[in-house]
Amino acid sequence: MKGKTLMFVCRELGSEDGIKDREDIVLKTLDCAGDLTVFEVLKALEEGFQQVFVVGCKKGTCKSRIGNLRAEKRMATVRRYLGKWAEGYRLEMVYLNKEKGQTLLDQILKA
Amino acid sequence: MVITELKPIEKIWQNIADFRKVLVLGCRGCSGICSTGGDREVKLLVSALNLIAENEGKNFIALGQTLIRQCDPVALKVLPEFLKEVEAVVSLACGVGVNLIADLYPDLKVYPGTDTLFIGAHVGFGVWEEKCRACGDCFIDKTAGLCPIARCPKGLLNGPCGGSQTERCEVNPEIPCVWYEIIIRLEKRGELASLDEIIGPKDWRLTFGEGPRKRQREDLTF
Ligand code: SF4
Ligand code: SF4
Repeated sequence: MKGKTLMFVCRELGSEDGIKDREDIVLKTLDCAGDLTVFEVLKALEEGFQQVFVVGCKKGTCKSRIGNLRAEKRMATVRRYLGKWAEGYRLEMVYLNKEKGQTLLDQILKA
Repeated sequence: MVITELKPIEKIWQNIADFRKVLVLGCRGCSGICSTGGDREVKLLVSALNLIAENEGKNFIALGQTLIRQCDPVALKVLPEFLKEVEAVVSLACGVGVNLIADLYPDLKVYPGTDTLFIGAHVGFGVWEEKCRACGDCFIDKTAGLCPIARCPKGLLNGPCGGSQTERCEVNPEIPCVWYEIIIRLEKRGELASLDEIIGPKDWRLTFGEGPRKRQREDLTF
């Protein structure tokens, strides 16, 4: 991954395993991926993050039912506001299950 | 309300790329209500434009303000206060707002940030539908309150076309045949007889006018 990365991660998916030691990655825990706002993502890009991941629970398992789907739509809105300039950034929505034996970071990068 | 949609950002940028300071001007009226140009969307567009400027290596700053409305000179009175060193304004109101700003501030470069789509209603979360074409001579007292000018693709005034077979419109099966709905409703209201009266050709001068239409209320003007 190149440049600074910001990861918004749903609290349900667990700890900062593997992330807290990485200087190039900042983690922000959300009570639900659906709490993400379009503005927060744009602000992060303005602050110099090149990559923003939003990590929510697998479809059908969100505790707020559609918080994860909302997060995906908000990432799409970020892309709409940036038009062709969105291509200069990595903007990813990742759906995960909480899994044992793997760090959260490994799971995110593999997804 | 007047339904608007944000223009593609590339088109917005094209108009303002050579300025150094631009005001994004929102409207808390219809445009804010339909989530195109209220406080939230102003904040997003300002942020996006500043990011784009950075990507393009431009010495540029976008600022944001939102007015209660842009279709009223009283609400626009404060605009000059926000224009210090501003070289251009991107309005997130409907076309009415952009026109009025252009009328009132002829030296100001104002550009539309939205496309104005239609007069419509909010019919579901994030969904708006056209309901009226502002024809200037409303006759929906005869059609159970449903407008065939806005809601029938053929704009038929005196009953359905031959293609109305399955309660859906033959031109656009995504929508119900509004004439089917009108007849069902008139029947329920005991007003089917209102269709006996032929609605004559409409006077489209009331719709398209000779130049912009105008309404003046004598009781309010001096
Ligand atoms: S008849 Fe004319 S004024 Fe009435 S709802 Fe239809 S378009 Fe609007
Ligand atoms: S099917 Fe109904 S709504 Fe469609 S064009 Fe014919 S009359 Fe109009």
